[in-house]
Amino acid sequence: MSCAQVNREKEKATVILQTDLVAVSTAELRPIFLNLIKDGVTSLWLDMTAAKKIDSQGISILVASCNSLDAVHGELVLFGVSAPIVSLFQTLQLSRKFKINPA
Amino acid sequence: MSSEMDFLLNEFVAESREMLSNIESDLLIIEKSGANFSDKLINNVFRAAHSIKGASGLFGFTKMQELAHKTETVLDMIRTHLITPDAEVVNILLMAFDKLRDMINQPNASNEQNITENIISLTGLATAFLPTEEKGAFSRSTSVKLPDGFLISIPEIDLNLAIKQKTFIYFAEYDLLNDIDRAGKDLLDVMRVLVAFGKVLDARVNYSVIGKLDDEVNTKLPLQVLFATDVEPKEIGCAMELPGERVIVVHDPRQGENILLPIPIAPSSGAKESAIQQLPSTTLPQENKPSTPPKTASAQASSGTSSSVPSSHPAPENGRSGGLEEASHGDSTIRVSLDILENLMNLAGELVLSRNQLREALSQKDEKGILSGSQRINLVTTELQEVIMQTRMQPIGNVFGKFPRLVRDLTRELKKEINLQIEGKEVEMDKTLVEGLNDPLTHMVRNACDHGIELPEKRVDSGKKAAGTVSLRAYHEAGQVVIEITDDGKGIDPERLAAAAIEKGLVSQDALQGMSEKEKIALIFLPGLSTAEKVTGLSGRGVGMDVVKTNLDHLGGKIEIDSKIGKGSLFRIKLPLTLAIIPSLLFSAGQQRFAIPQINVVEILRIPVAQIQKRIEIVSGVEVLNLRGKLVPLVVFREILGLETSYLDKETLEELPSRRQGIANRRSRDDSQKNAPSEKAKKMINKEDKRSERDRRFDASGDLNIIIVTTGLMQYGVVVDQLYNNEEIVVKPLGRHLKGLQEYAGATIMGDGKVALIIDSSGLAAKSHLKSVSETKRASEAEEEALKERRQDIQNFLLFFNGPKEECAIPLEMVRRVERITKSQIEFLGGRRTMQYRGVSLPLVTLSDAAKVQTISENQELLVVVSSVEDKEVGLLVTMPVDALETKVAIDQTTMRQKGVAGSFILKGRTIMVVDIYELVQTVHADWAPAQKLRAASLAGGKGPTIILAEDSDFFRSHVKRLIESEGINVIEACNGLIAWQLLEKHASKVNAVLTDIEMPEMTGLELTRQIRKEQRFANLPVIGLTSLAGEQNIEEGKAAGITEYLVKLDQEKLRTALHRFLSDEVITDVS
Repeated sequence: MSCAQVNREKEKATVILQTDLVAVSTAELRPIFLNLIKDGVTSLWLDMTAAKKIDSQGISILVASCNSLDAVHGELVLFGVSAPIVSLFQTLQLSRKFKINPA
Repeated sequence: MSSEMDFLLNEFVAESREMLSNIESDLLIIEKSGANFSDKLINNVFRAAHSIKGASGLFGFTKMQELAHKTETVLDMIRTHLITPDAEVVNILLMAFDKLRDMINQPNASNEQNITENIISLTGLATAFLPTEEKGAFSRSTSVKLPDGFLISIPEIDLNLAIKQKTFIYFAEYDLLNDIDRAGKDLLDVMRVLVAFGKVLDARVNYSVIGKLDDEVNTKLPLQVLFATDVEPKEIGCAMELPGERVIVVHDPRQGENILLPIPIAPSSGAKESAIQQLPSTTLPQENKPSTPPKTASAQASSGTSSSVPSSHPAPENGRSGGLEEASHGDSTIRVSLDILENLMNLAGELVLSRNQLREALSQKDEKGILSGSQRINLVTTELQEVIMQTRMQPIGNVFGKFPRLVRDLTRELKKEINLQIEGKEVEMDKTLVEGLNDPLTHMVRNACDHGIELPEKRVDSGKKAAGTVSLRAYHEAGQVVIEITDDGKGIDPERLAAAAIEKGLVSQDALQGMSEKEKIALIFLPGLSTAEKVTGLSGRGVGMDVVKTNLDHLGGKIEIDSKIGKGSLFRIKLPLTLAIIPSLLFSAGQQRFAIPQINVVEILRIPVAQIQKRIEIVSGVEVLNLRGKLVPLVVFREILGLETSYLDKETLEELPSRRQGIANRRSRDDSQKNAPSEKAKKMINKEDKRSERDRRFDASGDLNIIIVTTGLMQYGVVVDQLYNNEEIVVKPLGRHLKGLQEYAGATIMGDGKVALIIDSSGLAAKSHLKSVSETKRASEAEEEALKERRQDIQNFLLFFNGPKEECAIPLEMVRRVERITKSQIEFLGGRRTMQYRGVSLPLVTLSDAAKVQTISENQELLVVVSSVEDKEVGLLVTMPVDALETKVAIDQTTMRQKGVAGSFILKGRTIMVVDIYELVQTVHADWAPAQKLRAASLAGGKGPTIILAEDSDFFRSHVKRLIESEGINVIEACNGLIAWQLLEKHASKVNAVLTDIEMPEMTGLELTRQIRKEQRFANLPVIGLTSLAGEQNIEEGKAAGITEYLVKLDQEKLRTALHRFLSDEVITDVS
């Protein structure tokens, strides 16, 4: 079973995570994200509803995605983020990096 | 905006609105409390500002984020007692929250809002409390150079606050990959612990090291953290889960100087660079100090104002507890096992099928189908309810799990040795309850360690092990969860607690006199005894126990304490399994129905209209109910609702206004004539006059329904209109518009679809400003009256008539049967009146055969009261009507005394003669007792046995004495237990038995028996209990005290038999 489901709408792609954002899933996600961006996606939405855990590899892939999207003037939007993970992002000041901008 | 964004934004708006809904009242309470504000409240408000700050940042609402941040900073200064929350301060905060509310209501326009005024006010507020040289810090950022030369920028005020709070500031660099992931740790847990121990001033993930997606995956993921905490350097490695050498002390409050000083960020990039150049570019070892530390405002402040930090509120404590509170704050999500989810899905499917079946049956008008469909829905719903409840159940271990760490920290802090034992971690209860227990249990465990367990040397001196034990135990009992917190410490001294309560004016000396030890210990829950210093000084217990009690009240729980000085204490908490469905008593007031949780209901009473004035009185301006000698304050629920008192007109079934003022103050029959009545009243008076026969003031519909409710600390009565059944109700939270009503705990939907509000017993008491009347003079009088009343014997009588105006009574114990007869059944044979009865001839007597009373007219409705005298049945001819009476009347033995009449008593203004059936029969049938006469004659020489007869009622005493003496037994009389004891001691050698009443003044029959049994010489002395109270419990109690046999008063046959049995050696054999 894939760890994510992808819905593509032109330059926007919504990736629905099916599992935690940890080392195992990031290995699978990294090429998916990379291919999407290479394929012209500039607005990457990540549904994290199913992710109850995140590890350093999870943070790493989010930052790397952001860095890649910055290069194409794109954006990374996270949603469905559980309270503990939001709290972690705040502690690590990652909320400066992952902004959810209203359309 | 996309639908996902709409959803997220709506969530944010809803959550923020909910958080803000309680802010206003919290801030107002904080304002009232001044410097003594509640930490919990300020933390609530702080959390709201903090959450809004975080979430608005995520959405890019920058102005909202800025305003929330400034507000948060001021709240943090209040939290750390740098600012006192007076009216002016609270006003500015309220205005800031008003603005935030406006912005949240229109989030997308929030960046256009003008917040300048709020920012100026908040900045002014914060800087006004800062020394002059620090005033700029509020709006400035400070850069701290990290060991790698990078500058971390943080608001200067945050850094200054940390320094003021005398916390250590550390810098640490994690490699998230190797230190966390590969070490098998959970990143979320590590960060949660970090937040619990202090404040992350700043953190920086090195984005450039991570690179892009197509870069090679890094083998390192550095995270730099600037962290303020009270944890000392030697323990910081453990707290941050890093080797100690990887953490650098940036500021040490003990040294008063900074090793690495903050440098204000210069406005231009050129200035920034020059600032960087001022700092050493290499990592500074802990002991190194810069040769020329730049003197900054914050550095001066840290040394100059450190003494101004209130010592009673050490910053580390605040930081830590705040963190723990945050960590334990209830999640809005819940984990549910897949099995349960699948079960729920199946049940949902079942429900759909049942609905379809029911719809089909309804459309076909198939009664059988409707019935089976509704039964099926009933079954599925019940099962659904059970499974859904399972999803809410969580193990109490979720709360217990934090205590090992707490106890460990306390052990170090207090220099004590404490072992913690935990049992029953797996016990499950509702999620809300588990979360709600966190604060009270923490409080109690902390108390047990801090004030319960003694210092090791003290324990050894008192013969205990040096290490104390604190135990936490959870288990199920009778459908409830019981949690016990036990310690083997010094226990609670009730006397010292009582003395402290008196000193603080919380209870009166009079009230204390009547208190048991347990009640004195319960004083610990009084709000006035809650502050640490005060209570620690007296007995070492009770820190915030009123708060514990209040929290448990909210959870529908009860708490009790067992404590022995020198041995330890046990706190037992009983809680329902769930708060979602609770058994409740339903009642109505006006046209509205309400529910009160069964756990709060002590008893329900119905006071007959005729007794209202007698039972309800006004003491200290409070309407109270005299409940078996205890005065219980009353709340009229209609008044709470603001409804007028009314009554239901039986004729029209209309609810009409009542003119009653208060409960007890019922107008007299002619009140309306004394006072000039209104037109409306006149109509009512006329109406009442017409039905004066059935005046509602004397009708059962005027009876009072009272629910006696307990809050745990006090009992009070709620006067309601109607009482209904007990039902299991589903608790629904109140809407925001009703949340401020303290008297309601929630709402439920009844079977008929109507909503019923659920009563919060503590809130209702507070709302009604209930006063305890337990300390008033009237309360002690009422108690004395009740005691007196209890000492009087209850006697059952059969009431009947002799002549038309001659009402008589006979003790019910003497009555075997009552038969209704006709005149024709009476026969006169051999000059004697008899009747055929069950195949034999029953002798009949009338009272007029012996006493000077009216002769019974045989034209009246006749009855025969059958009794047994001298082993023979005899019928007393009486007339209707008959009635039974249970009373405690005093019998007058002189006024009406004559042959066959033992005495009289007054009942509701009527004089009632008490018939002595034995004397009557003996007078009429003197020939019936030859055996008795023979026995008496043989004992005439004074050789007969002697008994002591203890009885406080003159009537019963003389009655029983006559009976015993007629058996030839000598009687020594005593009017109470004490005199009986004195007489027994005096005549010990000649007393063969004791015949005693139970309820007597001075010394009861049970006390007398216990006294007798204490002495070896009376070990075999028969003690016969003579009472009208011969229930199983009384008999058990009597036997436990040492009573040989229990007899019901006035059952002469049984008494005679018993005397024969016990005095067989002394009493001559029955010659009959």
